[in-house]
Amino acid sequence: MLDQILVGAAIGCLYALIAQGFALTFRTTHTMNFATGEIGAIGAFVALGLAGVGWLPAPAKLAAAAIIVALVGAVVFAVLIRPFVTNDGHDARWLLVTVALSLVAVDLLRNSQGTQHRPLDFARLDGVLSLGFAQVPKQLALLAVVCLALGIAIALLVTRTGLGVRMRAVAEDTETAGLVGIDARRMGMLSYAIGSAAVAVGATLWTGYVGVFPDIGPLLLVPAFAGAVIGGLISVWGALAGGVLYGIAEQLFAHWFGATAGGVIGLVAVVGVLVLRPEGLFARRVEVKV
Amino acid sequence: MNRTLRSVAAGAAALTLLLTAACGSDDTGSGGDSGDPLRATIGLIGPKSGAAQFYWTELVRGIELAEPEIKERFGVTFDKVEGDDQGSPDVASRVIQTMLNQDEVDAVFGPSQSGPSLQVAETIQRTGRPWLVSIAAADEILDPDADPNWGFRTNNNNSDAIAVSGSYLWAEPGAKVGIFYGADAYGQSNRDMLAAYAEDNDKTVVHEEVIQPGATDVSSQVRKMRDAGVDSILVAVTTGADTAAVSKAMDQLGFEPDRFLVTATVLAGYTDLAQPREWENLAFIEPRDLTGDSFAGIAQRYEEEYGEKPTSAVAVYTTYTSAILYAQAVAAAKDAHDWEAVRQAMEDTPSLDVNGRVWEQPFGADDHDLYEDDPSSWYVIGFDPEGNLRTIGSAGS
Repeated sequence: MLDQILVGAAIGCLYALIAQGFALTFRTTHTMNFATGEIGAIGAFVALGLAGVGWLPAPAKLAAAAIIVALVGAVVFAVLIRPFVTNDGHDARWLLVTVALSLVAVDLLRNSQGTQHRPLDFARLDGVLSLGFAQVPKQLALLAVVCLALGIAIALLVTRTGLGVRMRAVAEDTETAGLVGIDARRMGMLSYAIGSAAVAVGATLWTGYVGVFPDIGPLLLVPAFAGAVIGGLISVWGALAGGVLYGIAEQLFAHWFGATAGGVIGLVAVVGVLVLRPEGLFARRVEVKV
Repeated sequence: MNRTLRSVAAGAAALTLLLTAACGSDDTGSGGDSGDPLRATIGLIGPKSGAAQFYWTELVRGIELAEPEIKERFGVTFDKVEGDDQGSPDVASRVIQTMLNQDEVDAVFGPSQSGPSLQVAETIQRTGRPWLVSIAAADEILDPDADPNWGFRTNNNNSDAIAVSGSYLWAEPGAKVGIFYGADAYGQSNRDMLAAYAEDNDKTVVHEEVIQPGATDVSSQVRKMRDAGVDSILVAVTTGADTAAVSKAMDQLGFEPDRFLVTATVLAGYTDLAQPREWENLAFIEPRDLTGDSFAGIAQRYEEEYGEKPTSAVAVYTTYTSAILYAQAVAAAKDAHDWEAVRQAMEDTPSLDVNGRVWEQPFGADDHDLYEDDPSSWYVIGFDPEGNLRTIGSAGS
């Protein structure tokens, strides 16, 4: 069972990183990109395209894919989401736009790249890492380490730096933040860029294990979104923890009760959290005095 | 201002007309009787869009590859009407109505998938048009009691595949057989058929495990299969990637069953995603010798023609076969538009030669399936260390 917990935690780190992207953009702009899974797919395909560049070391290829996808994320926010961002948060057209974007992106990827799984020839480790008490595939261990490190770095950036303070200021009151010289549009683009880059790195490392294919979107979106809701959509630390918890629960329930139960348990947990503690397990409850 | 608006409106109208014409050209054709009795209007229906587009590609290319031979051997030419079923039974139902009633096609090739094929089966039977089921494998697509039966299948059907697989899995006395099956229609159908085969033959499936399509890690399921003492397994999942997930976990856990049987879906990219040591013992059952001249020759022509390997060489071959079968029947009936005569000619086919592989009297009034379930006529196929196909032997031995 320790094996299952470790594997679940490793996959959960991927979910956690993506969930954190949700939390980051939601904190800053009160919006989320429901095409996040497809953003990850784009990152994986960019990495696949870079695989043939022999002189570029694997970390550089990964970084290049992340930068390209960060730009995509920033443009998506500026062009497709920003026009629907309002201070009162009552305009939900950004949601429709991002869902539409996911459909368009997956269709474009299918038509241009085909539907088959293709191997990623770098950032790919073979074999199993034995820890004595348990073992985990080396690729999943790499995925966990990188995703966790990135997740912690992003959380620290948001909670401990001046940039993070400016992001929070925009989230609290865009107009007032503007009065003190904080550009809300730029902060939004930055949060989308960071979130998208993180997704690209995670998705690329994951596809090193399962292959690159256009339909990875739902496989990443659902657990990551669930993880974000469980942990707390306004807490970058909470989203991180929520994603890991989701991964472990999925794996353990699959082990105990079968694969179908593993796929369902996280969603049941989401419903439970929304009913009992809508702000998430790790986010602070916000009381509003009327 | 008004003139500008009028210009814009006129331009938009012209553009709309052009786009309409361009978009419509795929789904319309001359249809019906074109005058030349050996010029057939054939309807191709499959997932031109959606997740299984490669089936559409292979359907179209399988026919394209056969056309020069068809022209040369039988003097038959095709006009093609294309219909996109989007992989959906509902859409297929609408598309087939248009094909049969408006385009008046002389024959239907496809749908490529079982769900849409099952949906259109009754309509085609009722309307009465030669129907080439070249890829879809569900048994129920062809109704053996239909009289006349318009459908002819040039792929193997699922129950034949399971019957041969069952005899392979239980070949050793006392074999403990287990199945990994996908949590989708394909996996469930294979699981049900294996269970039915076991019941009919007084065997037992010792253990079953479900695999979620796209699952990252299935070590839990593999561990349970190993702990159940299974020594002969069937993996029935939809993609080569899912098969790779299973073999990867088997490798990690050191699970080496005596017989490691998979389905032909393993051909879709498995060796790109797995390591050679994972497929040492892996095999699948095929009624076609995938390394033989007939099959490999067509796969090679495909690569030369399109500059890439087929995603599903089997779908290409079975579609190629269906095109030869149909064209030969048109030539025998001497009129593509005499649908009943063409259907009868297909049923009475004395001999079918597909790039050197010959079937003698492949069909009869009660048998519209090209392949049989005799294990001795099927092949056990595996991969060599480089990932190339190798024929291990006959499934009957």
